[in-house]
Amino acid sequence: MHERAVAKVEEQVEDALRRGARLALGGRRHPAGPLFFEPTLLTDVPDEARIMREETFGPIAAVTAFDREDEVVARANDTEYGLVAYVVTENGARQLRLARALEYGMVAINRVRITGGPIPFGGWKQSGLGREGSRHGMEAFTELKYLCIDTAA
Amino acid sequence: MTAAFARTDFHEALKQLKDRQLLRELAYVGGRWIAGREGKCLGVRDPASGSALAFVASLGADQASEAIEAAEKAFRTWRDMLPQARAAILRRWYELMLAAREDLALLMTLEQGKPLAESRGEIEYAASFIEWYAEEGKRLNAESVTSHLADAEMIVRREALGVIGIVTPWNFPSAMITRKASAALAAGCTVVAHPSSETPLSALALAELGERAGLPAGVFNVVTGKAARIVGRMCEEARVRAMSFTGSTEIGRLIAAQCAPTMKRLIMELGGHAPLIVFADTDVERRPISRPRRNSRPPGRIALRPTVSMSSGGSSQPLRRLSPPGSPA
Repeated sequence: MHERAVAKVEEQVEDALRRGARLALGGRRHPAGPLFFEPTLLTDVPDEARIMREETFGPIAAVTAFDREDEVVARANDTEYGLVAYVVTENGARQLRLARALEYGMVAINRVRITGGPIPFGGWKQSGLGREGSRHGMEAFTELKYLCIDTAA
Repeated sequence: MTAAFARTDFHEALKQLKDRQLLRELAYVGGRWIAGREGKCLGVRDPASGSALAFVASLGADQASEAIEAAEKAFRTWRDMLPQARAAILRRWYELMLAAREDLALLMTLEQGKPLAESRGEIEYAASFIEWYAEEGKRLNAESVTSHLADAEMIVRREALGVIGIVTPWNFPSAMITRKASAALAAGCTVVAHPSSETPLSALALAELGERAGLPAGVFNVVTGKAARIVGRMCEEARVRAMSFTGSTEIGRLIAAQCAPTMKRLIMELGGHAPLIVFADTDVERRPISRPRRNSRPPGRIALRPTVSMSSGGSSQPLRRLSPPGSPA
């Protein structure tokens, strides 16, 4: 953690507010120390806001509304990132439709804790190459060798 | 042997370490703890207070090559061990990590800033990869091929790649190392790791524990120092067969470009921007997705952290659940 990270968070909050987002909670540095920031909640955040496009390393939640499933899927897929997506719905068919449509390496339905040794961790598009964890993570460090032996008498 | 550097400050919290030998400030190359050429060091600070925490050896590019040399020398013997022999060492490494959980968590909190409960959680998470790969390494199979040629037997094998370069970020100083290294080691590869210069202590403590577990000299190396120098040399060297990097997409692109001349395999975990899509049919009281748990993670530090999209057809109930009680939302 360093000053640049905190400054970036501040810039992202200011940028969102300038574009019409509302500040529901927090939004400022925290008195606990120079590298601390208040837990912050922004609502009505437009898609073009930096916080919706860039990674943020700070305690900020940016919230926006949607009306239709196809609309929110298109917005979620409109990015060169594709590491993980979280979906909350009790509707089984919708869970599977979203899982199929989302362009992400990992899709979590109704839970946030999903990673560990046995699972392939990694992203689509420019979120990465290859996977860690699972047998795929080990196979990544191996080469295939094809051997052909003649058995004619 | 611990640090040979003169110290003007001593961070009070380090006195809580039960095992002082876990605080390593020299780099670990070829089974030896070594200083940077000309005694160069990197200062490591406690981000919560800003105080000096440690001075870690800052190695030169040629010393990175020494580590690669050591890893290459150790490779054939390590690769030719029976998988269960490698597994037994990895298993011991896992057990030593758990036994040292408190000290490792303390070092992590001090160098990284995450709360102690969070650090303990990461140590367990990190250790779980070593355990997983200790077992998976015994099951490295590939498929055979039904021959399309007469009198031909066709076998497809999987073989260890060689020396693997590992580059890890500051947000998970232990788990990023173990997740990559234990997979590589289980496959029979040897490792040269560069931890983030902001959080090198966790990696060095892992090297200390790995040595105690019986990892042979040269099998697991930790090269601390300026990233441009160390990682640059790792990318240049043809003897490094793959680079496994977690960090920003921007740096990932740089590393990929530097690895192109030697046609290295790349395993990259880069930036993410996670959507959290909440539909109106959700009973948020029953599914408090954002409820903190015992080992809950601070929202800011993880690539898995979501931005939230919510169905406007629902109540504002989910929004209230995201805010702590008493807030304006």
